[in-house]
Amino acid sequence: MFAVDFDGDDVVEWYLTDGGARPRRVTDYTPVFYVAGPESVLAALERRLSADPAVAAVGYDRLYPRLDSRERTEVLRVAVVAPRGVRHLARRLRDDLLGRVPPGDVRFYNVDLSPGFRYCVQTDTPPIPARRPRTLRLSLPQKSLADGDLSALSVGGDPVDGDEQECVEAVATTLAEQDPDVLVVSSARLLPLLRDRAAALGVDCPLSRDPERGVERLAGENTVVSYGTVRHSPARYAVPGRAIVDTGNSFLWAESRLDGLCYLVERSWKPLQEASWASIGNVLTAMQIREAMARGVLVPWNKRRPETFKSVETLHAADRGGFTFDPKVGLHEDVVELDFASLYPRIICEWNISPDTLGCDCHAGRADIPELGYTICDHRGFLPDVLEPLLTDRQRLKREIREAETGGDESAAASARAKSGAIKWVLVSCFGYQGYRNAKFGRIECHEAINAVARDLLLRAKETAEAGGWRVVHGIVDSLWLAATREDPESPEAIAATVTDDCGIPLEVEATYDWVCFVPTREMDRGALTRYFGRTRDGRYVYKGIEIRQRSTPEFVADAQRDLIATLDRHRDSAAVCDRLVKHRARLRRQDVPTDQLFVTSRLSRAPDDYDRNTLVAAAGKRSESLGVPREPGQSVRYVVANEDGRGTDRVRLDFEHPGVDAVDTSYYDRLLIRATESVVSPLGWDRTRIRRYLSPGRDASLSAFD
Amino acid sequence: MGTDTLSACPRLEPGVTLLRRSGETPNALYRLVTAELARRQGSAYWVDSRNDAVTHALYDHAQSRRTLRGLRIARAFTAYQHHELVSSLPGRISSRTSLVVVPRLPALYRDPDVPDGEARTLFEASLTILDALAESLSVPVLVTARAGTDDVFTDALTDAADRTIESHDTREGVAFAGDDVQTLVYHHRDYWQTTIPYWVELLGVAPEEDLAHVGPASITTLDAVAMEGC
Ligand SMILES: [Zn+2]
Repeated sequence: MFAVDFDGDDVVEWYLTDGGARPRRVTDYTPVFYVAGPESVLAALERRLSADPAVAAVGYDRLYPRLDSRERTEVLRVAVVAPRGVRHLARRLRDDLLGRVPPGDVRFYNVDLSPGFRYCVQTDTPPIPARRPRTLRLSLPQKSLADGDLSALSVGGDPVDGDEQECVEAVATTLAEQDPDVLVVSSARLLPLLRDRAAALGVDCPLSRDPERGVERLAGENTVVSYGTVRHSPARYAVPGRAIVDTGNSFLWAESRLDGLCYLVERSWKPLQEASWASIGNVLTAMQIREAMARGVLVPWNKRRPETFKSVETLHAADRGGFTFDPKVGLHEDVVELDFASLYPRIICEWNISPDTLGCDCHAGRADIPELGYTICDHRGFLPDVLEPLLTDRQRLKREIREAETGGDESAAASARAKSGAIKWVLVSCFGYQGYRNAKFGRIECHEAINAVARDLLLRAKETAEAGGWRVVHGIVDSLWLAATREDPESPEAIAATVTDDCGIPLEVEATYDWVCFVPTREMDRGALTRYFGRTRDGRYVYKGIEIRQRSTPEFVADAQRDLIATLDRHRDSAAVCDRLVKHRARLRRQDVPTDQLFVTSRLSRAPDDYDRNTLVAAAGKRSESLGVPREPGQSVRYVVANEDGRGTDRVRLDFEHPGVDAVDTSYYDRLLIRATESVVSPLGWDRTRIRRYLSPGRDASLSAFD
Repeated sequence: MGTDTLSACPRLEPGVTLLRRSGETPNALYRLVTAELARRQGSAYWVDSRNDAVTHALYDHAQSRRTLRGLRIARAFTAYQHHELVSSLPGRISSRTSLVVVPRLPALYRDPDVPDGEARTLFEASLTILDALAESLSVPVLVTARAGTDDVFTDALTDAADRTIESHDTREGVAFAGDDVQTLVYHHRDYWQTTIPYWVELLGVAPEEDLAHVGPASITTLDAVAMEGC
């Protein structure tokens, strides 16, 4: 099966065929949720629900209420008539019971599963297509979308080059010829616009594969806060028989494209449509729900399981974060970087850390976790069962990437990279997710235990390296940077092998640097944990945390910084870097830099009017709104700075205004250049004052006066 | 921090004590709890919200690590977890329990991810349990709520509390005010300073600059103030 959609009380399954897709209508599907509570309450509920028109059937099942339950409990099974009606009915029951039974006495399970995913897991129908889905890209510039103007539409990556009528006809023709399975759109709002315009122009342009049913709006737009960041969640649309990917709002599409997305569909059983708008946490939860259901464990609606009571001492130890070793600011030659690959998920699997194994009764008293003394059960845990296949797949895919690259098969390599990338994201999130307050199967003690083991492993690796003739110049979470302390240190490979044998988790030589610079914080008082750059032995430059890597940095500044680092590589001298900077500043002053290299991209963290201070982002957001392209929190704006010290929306020009070079505030970009230069020379002790002094006219005199 | 500051800190009697605190830091909470733990034997329980239980702050305020030995802390991150933890207290507590601490009691119940009706029911149930524990076992129960966040939750809390202590951060440290708190001077580094109410009583006025950080409303209601420095 490829897709599932809902038509009244029916479900329509879609299967991909060689020529296109074929539907299969299912009329007897009734989604199920569960209620646990005192016998008398359940009996009364059963009587009431049997007569409820929204309910198809009521009965009893025996299931495990928690991952670590030893006994099954009898729970009320409620089958709902409407395929998407579970949440609604559960809310009604919950509100009904309020005040009539003590809170917490009655609990609901398997309530908040997305409808397509629920259908797949409940009916045991994997949403895995028989062939690779075909995609069609439809994109429209933001400004045109806001104006409701389709004439700038691109179909399949090519601008149509015609009026609206021709654009809609081009879409219709392409749909008929290619019969795509996935519509990859620049914004989901393009769909209702296309539908309405086609109707108005009298063009037959069936976006849907079902002639009876068209574009369906599933949810309105809203703004959500997740993990402390504001995200704009746009309106969602579905079309029967096809999946929609909104590229501006699909994290997974942006990170791993079709092959990565399809891999996660296979693992999570979230149909492609639901996976495309899911977050990583969402996909991970789906994987966990599948595993829980396979074990006969109920999926709680609200997370109730609290932390256990701990002594202040234990809490103190548990609260320490990951391993960090402050970087030694400066330029270091011949540095080796050692990384534990997939450290956190491997710890989970290797130490069997899981909500159902941590602190078990059957092995009570055994201290399995360093520092904290937590017990871990010998029974195979739930979380390792979820993660192990991902780790195995990732290793296999890494091998496939290497083989495809050596064999020159670029498309196979790209596909494997996309899948491997998708797995990486899930593995990276699984640790943080254990500590997330609403994670259904999260448990904060697991988060603490993983951290404690990781700290211990890094310390042991550090000791092994030191004994082998190295010192740590920087370390963070799962990586160590080493410099030799004597003439003939043990080889990094030997160190890595010793640690791997000792820990059971592979430590790998990630890179060997000819030189690496650790950048100080802006206050210049200590090393910043994640800001460094350098050149590896095989001639590759590595940049972390500096301007080049920041999304908001204009291309011109990033290019200049790259050039300055190459200069540093050649001369190892701050003065030489500043001499080179003169060239970039001159280009800027001559207005020799095209504006498209000066765009700043920033994400709005709140509504433009809600900013306390008059930041440039706020100005850009307001200007966009005044020009008819309103931006929501979480969305980005792209602008050049026209007059940083000016007032209101006049300070910036937006990309869709196509500003010319004379609109640019040169002094603003000049300051960005100096900042980027400071990152390059600050490891050698130069700050921006020193840079400016060096660059100031008549510097020879002032230099001799200072040096 | 010597024993003289301990005596300047209000005692927590059996029953529910509500600490209403203004200011950003939970220092008043740490002061009250560590002072009370230093005076009492036995185990103590702390049900935490919004990460008020900062261990190094507790260590800073405690006279010695031994003071905190009997304290057990569990953190809640949702209203459901909070209620679950409070509901587990009757199974843990005896009349030998020295103290129960529930900071920011209403906080998680105000979160938007719990429907209003359910939040209120859960909150009332939690409060009922705490009240019953305090009464039946004669255990001091300390709950807190931020001053200035008056809503149905704080109203219910004020009604249920047997007494209320107010606290605010001042330049000299934490100041407490309440019905049975009777200290007019506080220890500041190594000299004694008179408190603001002392000036109010003595002269009928308070020095301008001191008024600024106490606020006129609290001055008139202050029976006494206990403060301590650093
Ligand atoms: Zn066990």
